[in-house]
Amino acid sequence: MPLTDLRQYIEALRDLGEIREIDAPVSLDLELGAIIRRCIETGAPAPLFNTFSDHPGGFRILGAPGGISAQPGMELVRVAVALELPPTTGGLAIAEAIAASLDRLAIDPVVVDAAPVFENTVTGAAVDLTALPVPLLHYGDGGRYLNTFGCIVARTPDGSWTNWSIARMMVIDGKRLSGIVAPEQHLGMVAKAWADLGKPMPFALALGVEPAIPFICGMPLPAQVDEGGRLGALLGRAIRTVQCRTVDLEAPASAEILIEGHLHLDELVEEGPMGEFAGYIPLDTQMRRPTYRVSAISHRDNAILPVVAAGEPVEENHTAWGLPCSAQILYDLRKAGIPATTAWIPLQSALHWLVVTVPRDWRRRSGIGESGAFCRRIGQTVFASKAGAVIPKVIVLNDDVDPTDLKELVWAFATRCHPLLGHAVFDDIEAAPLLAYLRRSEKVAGHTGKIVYNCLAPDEWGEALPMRASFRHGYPAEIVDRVRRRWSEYGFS
Amino acid sequence: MKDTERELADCVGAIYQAGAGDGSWLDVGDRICRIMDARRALLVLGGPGGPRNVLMPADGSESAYSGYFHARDPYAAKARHDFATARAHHLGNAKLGAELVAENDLLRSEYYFDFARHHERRHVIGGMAGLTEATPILVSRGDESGAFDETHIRLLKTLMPHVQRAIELRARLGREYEASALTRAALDALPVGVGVVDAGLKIRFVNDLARRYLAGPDSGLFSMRSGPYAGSGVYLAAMSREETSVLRRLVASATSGGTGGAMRVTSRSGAVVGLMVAPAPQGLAAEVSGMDGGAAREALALLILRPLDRKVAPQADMLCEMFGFSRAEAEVAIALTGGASAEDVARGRGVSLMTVRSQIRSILGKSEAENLRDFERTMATLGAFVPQLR
Repeated sequence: MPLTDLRQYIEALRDLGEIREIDAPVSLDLELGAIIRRCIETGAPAPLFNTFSDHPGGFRILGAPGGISAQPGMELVRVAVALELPPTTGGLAIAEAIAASLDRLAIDPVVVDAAPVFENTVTGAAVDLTALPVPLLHYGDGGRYLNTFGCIVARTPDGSWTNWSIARMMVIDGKRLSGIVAPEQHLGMVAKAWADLGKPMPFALALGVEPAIPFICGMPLPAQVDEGGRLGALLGRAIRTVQCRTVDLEAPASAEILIEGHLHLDELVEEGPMGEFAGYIPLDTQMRRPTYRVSAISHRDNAILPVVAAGEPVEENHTAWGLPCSAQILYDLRKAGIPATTAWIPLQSALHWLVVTVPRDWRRRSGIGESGAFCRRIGQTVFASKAGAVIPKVIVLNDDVDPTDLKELVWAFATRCHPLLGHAVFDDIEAAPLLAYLRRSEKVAGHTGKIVYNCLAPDEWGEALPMRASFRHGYPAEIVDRVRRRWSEYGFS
Repeated sequence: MKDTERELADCVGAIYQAGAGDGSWLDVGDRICRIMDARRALLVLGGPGGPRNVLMPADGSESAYSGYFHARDPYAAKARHDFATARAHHLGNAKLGAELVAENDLLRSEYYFDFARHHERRHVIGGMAGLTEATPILVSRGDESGAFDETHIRLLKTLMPHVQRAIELRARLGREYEASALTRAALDALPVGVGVVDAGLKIRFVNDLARRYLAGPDSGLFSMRSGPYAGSGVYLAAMSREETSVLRRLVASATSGGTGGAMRVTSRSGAVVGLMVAPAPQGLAAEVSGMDGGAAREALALLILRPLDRKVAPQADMLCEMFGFSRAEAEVAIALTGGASAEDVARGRGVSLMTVRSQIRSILGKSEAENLRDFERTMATLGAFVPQLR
């Protein structure tokens, strides 16, 4: 059944044991962030906070909306349910489903006349961001972050491209927000198009939208591609949008809270730092970043604000950003003629690793004879793509390894990677400044080195692969089957 | 579907897998015992080590005991009689033990007293199968488990037609195996290395000489087992990346409609092997690699291996046998290969030129060669049949 708003999503998760309502008053100052982090790190149900000790109420907060679950066989249940897939769908299947949708025709959003988000609206002088329950998430954050999982809507001045994205937004005061607006990101491109005309960029920030939207916002689609249409193609239905009140934009009609206004690239204020996806709270002091001036705030009664406490894996940056990245890279690799069985950003790698697996006959399928050259081609494809721009390290393995199984991945990387032979090193290439280990000079330059680790079988072996000494691989199929069938007979449970 | 029905369906699948050689008869035995709530199952089939019960793991003491009592097994005797007298009536049928052998007769028999009662064969159901002789299935329980009933009869009757077909399948595959074994034996006798590989260099067949070469410590080519699973196959590879690359290219050509080609492979000792790669004839490929009809359509490459770095000449015994040469004529013929003159040979052997010329005339006559050049061609051809890789 389609989950067309956040409340339906919460009920679906509740039925699966993935929601924990918290009625005890919780402080927005660090306590809420700490609870979400603990939930994230233990795989506990997503916390739904009903009351706050330092906020008058009228709002709720949903933590860890796309976190992973400790329930056996349901690690990615929140992602799967959000994307309207069976709850037990695994990461590789989710990535395949997303990648498969990229060849389908877009289904553009439809505009509806009314939306519950307009149950309460303030505009102009009445706007007050401090009335919202905005948490201080990490000890060391430079401020309170309103947007960690919302959909930023922006459109180019000529109306040809409507971009939906996610980027952090910190509350500056009652009427202003600020955040990272990188020029190479789509939000930055649209903002620059407006700035080139000498105008601020109209924006809408839709918080608490239907559950699939953040995943498409986190997906590194090519420029000029509307995320709304692509999400329609993935879900097989049009997303409902509604006309904003003070800007000429349509925002997802499912929003719990809708912020409207204009982004001024030329008005810089102090923003950050904030604990980020790499798992660290940056040591940097505040940076001067553009200002979002807010012209309207609308919200549903008892609105629910989704909150991500970014940091050590696995949190929503790794699921809602990393997983769609995997899907897009898989699609890009296949389009480039690389016979990838899968491309997978291990959730625990915090977007610093990408694993590409290939079948044993990759030479015959790709027409490339040597594994070193093959790895270089993979690196060229990945690092040139928007999705791969973040990824600094690629691991290429034969597809007998399941890259979603960390134990298997660690073993395979440790035992199949020659320290010297066959790797493709890219000495100087564009890099995302949020990579954890970058030197300051690299962050400033936006360039670093990247590598593709060649963990394929030696070229001399041809298509022969290492024989694995495991229960599953190291015995004839009938013995494996026999032992499985008789397991309880042996006395094991 | 009820559990029993599902188990029956699974058991039928296992029976055909075992009959085709892809599965295990032990698995079938497990399943039959589970379905019938039985302790033991017996189906004696012939094999390389002689007839044995394929449905249960060998048990030393029981095997020894049953070896002695087999001839006195009243169920086996009854099965032989029924099969001989009314085969069509009994095939596929199943009966309770008491219908096969009267209870009183069984309980008073030496078979029961000394053997069956100690080996969980108090209660029995027998099902008839067989091709040229009775090959029944016997399922049994000990005394403590109680007798079988009509439900068990129905279950075994359901399985018996499939057991019969699996036995037929096993026999047919056995005949095909014999034909294939003949082809393999012929290839093993060739004086050159022969191999068949698929497009990924997975080895489908190598003859005896090629196998010896690949196993040599200094060989430029080698075979290696591949994973990730046990039994994923054996692949051909070259010691050097460059030669592996050329080999892959030639095999790719031979398996994709091209002609293949030839290459030299150098071993660590410096010995050079010539490797010819060509499309494998479909019939040969199917026969030696044991492929079924579907897989037989896969293009395979034929490999011929010959060492190139030593002089190749037939042995004297071979020449004497083939052409009726005298020992001296055979030695002169060998000495002449490689372009030596009659004078050289005379000098080398310490005989007169006249003697050698006379021997040459005799050699040409016996070998029906028109001249020495023609004879050299004959010698070169014979050289190809000299075992060299051993």
